[in-house]
Amino acid sequence: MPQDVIDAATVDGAGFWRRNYQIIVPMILPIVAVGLVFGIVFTFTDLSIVFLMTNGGPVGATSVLGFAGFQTGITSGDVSHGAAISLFMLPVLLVIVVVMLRFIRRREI
Amino acid sequence: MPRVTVVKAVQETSFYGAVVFFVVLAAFPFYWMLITSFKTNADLYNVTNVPFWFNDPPTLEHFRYLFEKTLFVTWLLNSLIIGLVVTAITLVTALPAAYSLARMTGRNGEALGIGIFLTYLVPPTLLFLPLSRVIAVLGLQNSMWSLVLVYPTFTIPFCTWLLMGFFKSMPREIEEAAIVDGCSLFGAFFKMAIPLSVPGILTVVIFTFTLTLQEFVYALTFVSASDQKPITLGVATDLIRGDVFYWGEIMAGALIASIPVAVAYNLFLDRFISGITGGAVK
Repeated sequence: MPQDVIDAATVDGAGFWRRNYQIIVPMILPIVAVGLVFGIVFTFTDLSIVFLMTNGGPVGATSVLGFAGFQTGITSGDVSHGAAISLFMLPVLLVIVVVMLRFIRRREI
Repeated sequence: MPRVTVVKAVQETSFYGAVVFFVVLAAFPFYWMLITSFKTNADLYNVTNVPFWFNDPPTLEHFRYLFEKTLFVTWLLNSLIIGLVVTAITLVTALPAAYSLARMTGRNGEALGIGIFLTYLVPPTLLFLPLSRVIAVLGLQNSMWSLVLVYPTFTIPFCTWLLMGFFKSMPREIEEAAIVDGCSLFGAFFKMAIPLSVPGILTVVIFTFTLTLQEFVYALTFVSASDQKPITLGVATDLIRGDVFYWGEIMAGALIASIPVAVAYNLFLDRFISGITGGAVK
């Protein structure tokens, strides 16, 4: 983030909020989008928090796809069933990632 | 004039108010760990006590239990060994990969770099099932060496990406000058690029080490023998027996594991990130 852009905006009379939301945020939007992709992907697939906090209980009420895959695939030993559950997340994530990456590319050009 | 001072005072107060809010937010878990690890069990389980401070005098019994009656030291060592070996593997592979991607490929390299970045986006939760099969075929189930083998799958893409950016920001002229002065390409890489990228390498080392130290999913899937567990898994699984949570021991273990990381972050990152190549080309 070049400092002179911020300086120029300040000289032109932009206040703190205007600088933030009309200069800085649009310029760092691609990076924000990358961070967002990471956040979505890793939150969507996270299973360690579920394992540690609730173990999916009570009666599966707090289970998520990743944890369900782990439970069937590793704990119960039905690897193919677990793999099917895990693989189901892939198309969902793929759509999100592709949409986000297209957005980033459009912003950069 | 007084109006201006009032506005300024409000600004300052709200600024420091926000800072204090976030500091408390970030530091509270550590405070909670610290205080819980020194409380006696009677204090912990009495719901009428004030939970934020000691009601009984502090005790070291949780630490004693952790070191004498559990495999905590083994877990700590396991984590350390895994971290060091994985960091070494990552550096050996990611440094040349990042350098060649940054310097020696044209548009294809760009695409390849994005490809590597995308591999990092495939999360462990999707990969642990296929990888567990690989581990089984290699006969590494229940061994910490399975983790040494698996962890580079996410550290290498990440670190290659990080170092690639670092090499790209370094002035090309230094290596070109070295090559003109009679260095081979490898010589330029080893004698110029690597010493100049020490801040980047250090960042990568710290990142790799933290990533391996905090990894949980793979460890949970591949390792179940108590003496092979890394510290994250050991603390989270072996200190919860059935419905009994050994809260004091859990918090003490988490505290001991997190202190070195916090110190490393604070000491190293600030000091080494600052640009060494700042005035290299004049």
